[in-house]
Amino acid sequence: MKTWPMTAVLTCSTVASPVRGESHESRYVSHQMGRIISRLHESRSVGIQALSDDLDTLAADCADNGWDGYSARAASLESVATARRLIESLPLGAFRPTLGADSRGWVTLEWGRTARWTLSLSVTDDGWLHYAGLFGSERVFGTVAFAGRLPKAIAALIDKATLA
Amino acid sequence: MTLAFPEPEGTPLNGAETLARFLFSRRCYSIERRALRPEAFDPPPDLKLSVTRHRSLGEAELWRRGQEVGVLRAKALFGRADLTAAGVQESGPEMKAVAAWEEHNPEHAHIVGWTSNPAYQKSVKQVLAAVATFLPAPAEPSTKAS
Repeated sequence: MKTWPMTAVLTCSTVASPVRGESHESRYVSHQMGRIISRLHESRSVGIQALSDDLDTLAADCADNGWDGYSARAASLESVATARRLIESLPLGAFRPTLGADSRGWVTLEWGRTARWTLSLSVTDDGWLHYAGLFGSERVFGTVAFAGRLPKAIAALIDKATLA
Repeated sequence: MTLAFPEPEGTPLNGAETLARFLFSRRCYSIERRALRPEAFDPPPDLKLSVTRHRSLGEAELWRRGQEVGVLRAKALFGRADLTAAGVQESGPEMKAVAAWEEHNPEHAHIVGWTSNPAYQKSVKQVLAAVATFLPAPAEPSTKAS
């Protein structure tokens, strides 16, 4: 599947409901656009289900304290639940992150092409996202709240980490 | 001046020294990207991240050390992340590798200089993961001297 920049994908809602014309051409365009959007939704559902399955596996792998062989706390149920909501908030066509867990028991999501071009998020128990991006020699990090919608700052960083 | 080994605890290590972080979880490595994840360098609550100095340890002895740690922790050794003390310094202005010898483990060292800010820690871990090299654990315990 072609992966679109998230900023472009966010405009899909306007494409999904095009102004309906009366001509044969406009009906054809509308029909074709509907097929494309339907495929994107289908693909998104498959992608989200796969990530959700990965999250279940992660929670099982990291269910006990010390799962990393050191002092890691077990993956927290709250962080897993919030990470699931975050995954569901990812827009159509977004690159799929890889999932992990950190020593605080928080779920982590990572996007990127190489170890030197990457974005990592930690999802806390109480709905905060700690993020860090490494883009060559540029480093960014910070914390934003997650209230059910993907924060714009994070969407922009995902774009940066994943687009060539 | 060259200090006798093992140096006093807290002595900064020479930038050229290579250090190993033993890994016991596959979650520390991204198979898709063939790269270490930042979580490979998660500091513990006391913010002293344990590593082992290569020094004169051969490959076989180094892996044996990791396997011994795994036995103590009831975890199979997954691999190790190698990086230099100079790479540690690259990860943050206060970051450094220091000697932390123990009677049974004179090559023990710490990566210190962390703050408690989780986002900053994540940024430091990203750089450590970027400068380190992952080596998977040998399938069988290595017993030959290198």
